[in-house]
Amino acid sequence: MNENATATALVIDDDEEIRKLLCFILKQERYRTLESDSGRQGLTDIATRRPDVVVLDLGLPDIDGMEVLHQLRQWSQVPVLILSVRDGAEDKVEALDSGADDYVTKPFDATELLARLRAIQRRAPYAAEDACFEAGHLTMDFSSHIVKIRGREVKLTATEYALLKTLVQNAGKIVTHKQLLQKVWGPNAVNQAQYLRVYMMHLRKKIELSDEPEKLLRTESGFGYRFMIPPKSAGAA
Amino acid sequence: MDGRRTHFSASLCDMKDSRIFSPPLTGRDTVPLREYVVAVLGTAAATILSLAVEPLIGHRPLGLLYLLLVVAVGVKLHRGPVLLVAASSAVLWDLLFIPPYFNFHIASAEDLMLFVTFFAVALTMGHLTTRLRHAQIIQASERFERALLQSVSHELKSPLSAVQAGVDALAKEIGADPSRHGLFHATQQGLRRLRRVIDNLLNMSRLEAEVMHPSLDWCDIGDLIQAAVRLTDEGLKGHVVAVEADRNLPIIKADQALLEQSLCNLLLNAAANSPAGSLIVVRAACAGGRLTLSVLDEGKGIPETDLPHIFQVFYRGDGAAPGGTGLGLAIVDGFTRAHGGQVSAFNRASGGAEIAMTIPVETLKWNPMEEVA
Repeated sequence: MNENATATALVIDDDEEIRKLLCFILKQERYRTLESDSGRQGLTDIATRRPDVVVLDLGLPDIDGMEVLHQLRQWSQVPVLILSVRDGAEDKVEALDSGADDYVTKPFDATELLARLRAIQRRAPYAAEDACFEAGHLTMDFSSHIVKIRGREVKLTATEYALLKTLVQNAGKIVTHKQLLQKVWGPNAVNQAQYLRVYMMHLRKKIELSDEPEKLLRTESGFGYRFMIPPKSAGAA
Repeated sequence: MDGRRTHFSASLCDMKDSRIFSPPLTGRDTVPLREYVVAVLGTAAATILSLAVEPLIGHRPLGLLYLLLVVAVGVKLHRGPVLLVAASSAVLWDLLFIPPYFNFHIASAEDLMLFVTFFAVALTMGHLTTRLRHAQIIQASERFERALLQSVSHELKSPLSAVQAGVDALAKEIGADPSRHGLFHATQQGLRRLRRVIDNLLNMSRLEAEVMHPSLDWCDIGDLIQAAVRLTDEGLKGHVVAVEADRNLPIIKADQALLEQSLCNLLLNAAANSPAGSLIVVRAACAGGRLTLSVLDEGKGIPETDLPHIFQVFYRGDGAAPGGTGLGLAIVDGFTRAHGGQVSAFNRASGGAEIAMTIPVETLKWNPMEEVA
């Protein structure tokens, strides 16, 4: 976890116990930690102390976390992970479409939270245009547009390829339905959820192996998809 | 004993009935006398105004003036006073302004038609305003239930998050000592169960408060099944899960999160009621606009006496596996109903139980054009 040695994480949560425990967990992973107990304090801290990543609660005493996010996004692109008890799909969609980078519900699993934090800290797209991407049994060559599963080439349609590329470039991060539709089909297609489902279904049939228990493409029910990086190849690409 | 209901169920019902926190508005509250006074005064004022302007505009437009009054009071007052205004306006208009005066007889056919129309419109107005008011009350109480649930959910989940985070943090500290590892594992299991119980309780409350409306969107059934199996992974340890689904299932319009949760509950129920190592089958079929998702296990089945009751809240059959809350299947039932569907349970000829959800769905079967990259 060397990349975290100098990373600073800011925890914005009004619950002192959660704040202390989160900081403890983050310090175990060699993050430097900062704490804010309110939305306004959090905004000030982001502006003045410039953290590398922010963990933001939604139910804050002074201004709602969603409002903090809106204000923040007007002047900062710091990666933000929402950590909230609100588990409705509409809350998640709103937060992610308002610029949050990921959403974890409380009670949370520390290992998962840390993995997601690492993913959103990676600012640049996962693979550059000329690179070759490898994860588990999947190899994707961006220059020749060739996708291989266990060494055997699979034919993808142009749309399936574009979908897979978008997800792979954001490997480990959540990509919302809206973002995918916008990226692959263009701004006029954001309400055409059925396109996305059908193409994802076809893409899955082509690239996922039935004997592999951990699938490459994870559905985040009701709001998006995530390309899962298999643990053993996480640092390889 | 025909199933047990725990004390908990009684206390939850009490809570629901008393509705201590309910907003003061209800559908059948008494109409204050003040509203009747306002109704009478309003009618009197309109009549005096009508007497003053009648020589200028004639008696027919006066009907419109009275209608305006009915609409105005309809916005503010309850059904009773509105109907009072409607009826008294009709009577006054007829007696004072429609010839022959001071008599219920109406001479011209035109006047008669105007009068009948007026009366019908006034009554409809009274009825519509009452309906509108009722809808507003329901909306207010739904908003309230939602807020209450949100705060209860926050109060339950926050401390649980703290405990979970603490245990996770300590896990790193204790390292690889095997005896402590067992302890840690047991704690994690307990926490996971507590989490599930809290989720189930909150979902049940949402269902009982009728604040659950499925948000329908297109989803892939295979994907939904896969997600449910992944989410219940820990609880299914020791069982083999097989999915039997046609590879060409259409995409359907449903609330994926609700169906996923239902399927998780069915899987956990099957795992709890069948021996370790046995097979659990998830079957999906879609035909004639109906999706059927069923979970089959190889346990000893459901006793015939319990079969009609297993979807009731807090019902625990005598043979039920220990550790359950009697909420899981009730939630499956609630979520399925929210989709306009129904659940069914029966024993398989080969042994074991089968529980199925059948819901009406809009389907889309569509093969994207094979444009090769």
